[in-house]
Amino acid sequence: MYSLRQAHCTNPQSQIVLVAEEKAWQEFLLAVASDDGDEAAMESWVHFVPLDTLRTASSKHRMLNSLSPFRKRSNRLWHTAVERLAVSLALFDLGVIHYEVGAYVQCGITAALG
Amino acid sequence: MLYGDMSAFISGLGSLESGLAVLPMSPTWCSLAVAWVQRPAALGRLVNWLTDRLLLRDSVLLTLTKGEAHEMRLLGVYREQKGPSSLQLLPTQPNSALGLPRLASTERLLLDPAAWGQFVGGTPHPGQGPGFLDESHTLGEAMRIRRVTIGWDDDGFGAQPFTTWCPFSVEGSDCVTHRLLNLHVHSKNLAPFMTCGAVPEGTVEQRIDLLQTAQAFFEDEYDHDEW
Repeated sequence: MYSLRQAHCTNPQSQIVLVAEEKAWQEFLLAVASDDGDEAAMESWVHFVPLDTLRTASSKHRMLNSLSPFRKRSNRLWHTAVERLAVSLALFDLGVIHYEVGAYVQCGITAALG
Repeated sequence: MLYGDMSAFISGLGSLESGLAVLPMSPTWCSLAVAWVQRPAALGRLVNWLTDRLLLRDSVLLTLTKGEAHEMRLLGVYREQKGPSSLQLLPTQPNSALGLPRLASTERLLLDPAAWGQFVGGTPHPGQGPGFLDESHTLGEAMRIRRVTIGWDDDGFGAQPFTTWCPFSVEGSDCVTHRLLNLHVHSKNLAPFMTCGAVPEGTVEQRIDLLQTAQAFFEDEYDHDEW
């Protein structure tokens, strides 16, 4: 949550987008609440996008996620950054983020909790 | 972790021939830690290309990437196959082809592809604490030979990281300083790197400790006579 807060603080005009499973988003909000009780404030500026939305709306996202490295390759050098690339493309297609405005995109709750 | 206005930074870079830029890590690796997408088609082309490569058998992918089957090397392969103008490189060191933007201040700006965040905060892997340098990275090697150092301009809230570059072993007025607009904190121990907004208690002290630990480890680990 520190990276999201820092991004919002230094880029108040930019969208802060978190893509994750719906259940994980609820867990994230609980973690924020237990950390400093500022759950409502954070919820107001973090744009949450359920992963199911992307799975449904973006064939490219489905394709990339069904392939390595997410399924079978376990090389630790594979980074979720490549997932963020595919997610960003899907978010552009859906009109969630826009080319003329900066966006901070985070995928998954584990990274967001840090 | 971001330490400035990315939109202003991008504006300072001007137009991109490729429509897409990422961070260079070494002559053959690139990082997606920060990406600038100026044209939708450029991002679509790269994602399509990556998807096609991920359909390859492991053995073929290993051959294509010369044994380094991961996205950082694949981005390098993309540049090799399509040409450098297909995927441009954001500034991580003073000799960037895209030039160095400025914000309202006169200081020039650089981005961290992971080297500085790894050096100050370490990585999650055993034996790679603060002071860790990946010498296969361009910046890791520059650090090892003492051409560049990192510091914080302020130990309080609002602190920002900076790097100082010196031409070979020359000290003093020939050295130049640049602000870092981000730190890629590989360890994921992010609290000490929070500098604005709701700053967790004790982070300033933690940040100072981490930098001092990294520098002390570096002094012990690397031979001063090498440069």
